[in-house]
Amino acid sequence: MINFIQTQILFYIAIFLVLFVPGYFLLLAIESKRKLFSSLERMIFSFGFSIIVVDLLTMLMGRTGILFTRTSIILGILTFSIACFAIYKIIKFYTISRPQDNVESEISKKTIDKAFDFSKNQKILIIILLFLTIFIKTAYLKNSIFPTSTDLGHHMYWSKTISETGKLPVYQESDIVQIDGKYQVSQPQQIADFIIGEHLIFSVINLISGINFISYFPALILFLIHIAGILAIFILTLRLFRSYTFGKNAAILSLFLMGPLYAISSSQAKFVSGGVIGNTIGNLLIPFAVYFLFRALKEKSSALLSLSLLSVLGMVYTHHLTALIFIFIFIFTAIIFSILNYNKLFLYFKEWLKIIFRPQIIALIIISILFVSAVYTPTYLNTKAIGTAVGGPSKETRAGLTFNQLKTTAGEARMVFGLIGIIILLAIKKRKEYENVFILGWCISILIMSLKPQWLLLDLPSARIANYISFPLAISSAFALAYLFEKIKSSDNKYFLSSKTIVSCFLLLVSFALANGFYDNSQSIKAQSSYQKAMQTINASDYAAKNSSEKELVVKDHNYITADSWIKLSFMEGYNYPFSRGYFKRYEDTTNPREMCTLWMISEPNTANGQKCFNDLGVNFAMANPAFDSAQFQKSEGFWQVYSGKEINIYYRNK
Amino acid sequence: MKKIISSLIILLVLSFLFLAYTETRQQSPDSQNWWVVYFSNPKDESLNFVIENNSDKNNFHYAISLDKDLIKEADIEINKGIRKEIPVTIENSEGKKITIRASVGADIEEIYKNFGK
Repeated sequence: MINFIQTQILFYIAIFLVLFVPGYFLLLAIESKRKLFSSLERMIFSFGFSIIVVDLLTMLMGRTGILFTRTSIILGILTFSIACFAIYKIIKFYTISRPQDNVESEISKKTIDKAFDFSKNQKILIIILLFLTIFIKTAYLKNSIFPTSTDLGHHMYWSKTISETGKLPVYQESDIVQIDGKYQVSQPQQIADFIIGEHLIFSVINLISGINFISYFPALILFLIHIAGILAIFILTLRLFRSYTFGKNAAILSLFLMGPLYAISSSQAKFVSGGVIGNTIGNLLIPFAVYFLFRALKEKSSALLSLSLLSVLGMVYTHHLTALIFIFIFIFTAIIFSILNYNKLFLYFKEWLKIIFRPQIIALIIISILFVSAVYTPTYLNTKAIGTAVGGPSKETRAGLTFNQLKTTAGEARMVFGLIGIIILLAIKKRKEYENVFILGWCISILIMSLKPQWLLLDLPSARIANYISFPLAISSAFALAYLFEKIKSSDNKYFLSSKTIVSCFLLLVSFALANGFYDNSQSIKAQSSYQKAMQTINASDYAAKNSSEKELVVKDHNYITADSWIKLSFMEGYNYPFSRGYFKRYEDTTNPREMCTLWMISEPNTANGQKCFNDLGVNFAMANPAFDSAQFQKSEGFWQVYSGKEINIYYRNK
Repeated sequence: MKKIISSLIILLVLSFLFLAYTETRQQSPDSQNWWVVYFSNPKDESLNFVIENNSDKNNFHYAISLDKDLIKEADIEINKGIRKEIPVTIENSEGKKITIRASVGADIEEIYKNFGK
């Protein structure tokens, strides 16, 4: 128990230091002249920008040869925070001497306070929604908090590599190849699938707190990022529709549609336990980038534009798909804005240039370019990776979803109300305004990318793009619901209805959303945790790692062993080690032929093919599930069964 | 706004504490119910083996066979969370298959080394 308390204290200290302090001081420096954010906004942005700042800081440290240790990381964060604080103090000092700045600052503070001034009932409703959101997700995570997911295992290998070496990782793997008729392990090849921003945060928290990677900590960090993403949608909705009388209600409705409803589906809690790190961080950074861009244009503020650019830089280092999706959101928003405001476009253009051509923006752009080109270039920025993402769909899974599939991904209620919201946004007088255009651009871009990717010459998995639809649709739905009820209850229009009818209608629609959203939740709740199976895998892995060597390699199965991707954390000998028998269909894919040794060594170890693979590669240990893969080894005199358990057996090849 | 922020922090801390405690309990030996048997050294000809008990059962039985002949069997009590190494010395095992069958109740696990190859 004492050990648990000690670990917990260190864990929370690490969270505070890594995921709050640097972002808080960055915002403090940016807000030196005038207050820009409410306390809730500052808290959420401090968290999000801390992720970006820590990523950039550690990349810079890695590039300059500073080893990552607990001391160096803490010193790096503190140095950055002190520098920001010094900037804040210096600017504040000069601002005090200018009375007009003080007046501006006071006005700005009052405006912010008013925007976030909720009534008592609204506050209660927000707290109830937060409670439901966290409660439902916690109930789901209870049975999946033990780390078993494949993706999370892959990511934590890299995070552990960073922690153990104290250096930036080299994303590469060795595979099995056949040269001159002999199978051998290839020289390491670069992997474009992993992006450094997905791993640094976990390494830094591990280094500071000492907490084990095979524990609750990766899922809890993702949970925190996910909740921050939902709150980012809430504050974004509040900012977007603050000029409407129902703006606050729309924001609360967005929390309702994003929080407790469909709380477990993909891109929600399932992504947390599944270790879909890039997407989860992306779902935080897209609302950030939209929020700051919207406010920068609306308030003609370069400071806010710089934060939008920083959010995009964060995406670039965290998740390529998110960055690409944001580019499309931006393009669609710009096109829609240009069409709706074609007669005033020149005036707007002049305004935008004034915001962009400021020293801080130009400096940030130059620094970003230098960072990407000289400090750390993301692995996916090579022609091969870019070539695989564009050019039109190459597979059926990339040819777009059907509307029904997209509706299931988004959630039926969100889809229905979201589409109504799009129609309203297009129909109302204010359709030309930034707030409406941003939501239209966001919704329409992802709808087209998911349903008709060939129109945009995209070659990306459509289901993965579709996961991004729930956020804009939640905002659009919230707007639709709030707008319709505001219109109906308004006594000066011809559709005036009695309050009883309005309440009935509202309850009916909310009941539909609740029934649909909670049905989705109930379908996703896991009945049982698989932690005992995973513990057996870890136990067997430690045994194999202790007894194998460079000359006696290991092969394992991916199909039937629980948490098998975590096995590599016991070895730490390479991303692709132990070699793994993958999904059977992959060996049958004629468009992408792959090595067959991993299949033969587990499925048919006694055949000539299997034996050749074992001999050529020097593989002497095989890990497999006894219920599916024991007979072929037990039939052979060449294998000893050296480890036996309910979930996993280990066989040793006696040459 | 302060009330919303405080509620949010409290809810998150409670959720984190609950999940962290749940996972820590899941990792603890007390929450396990499985056992395994393995050779102390899988690569050489030694036959010492380990029964690692993480189950609620204690009364294990093991039987050692040389090819199909039972040469030794015994009962052994191993408490939960304990790894018990059992030394085995067998003369004239050359060219034969040594099988160790461990059991507790109806659960049986088997390991073997085959010197016949």
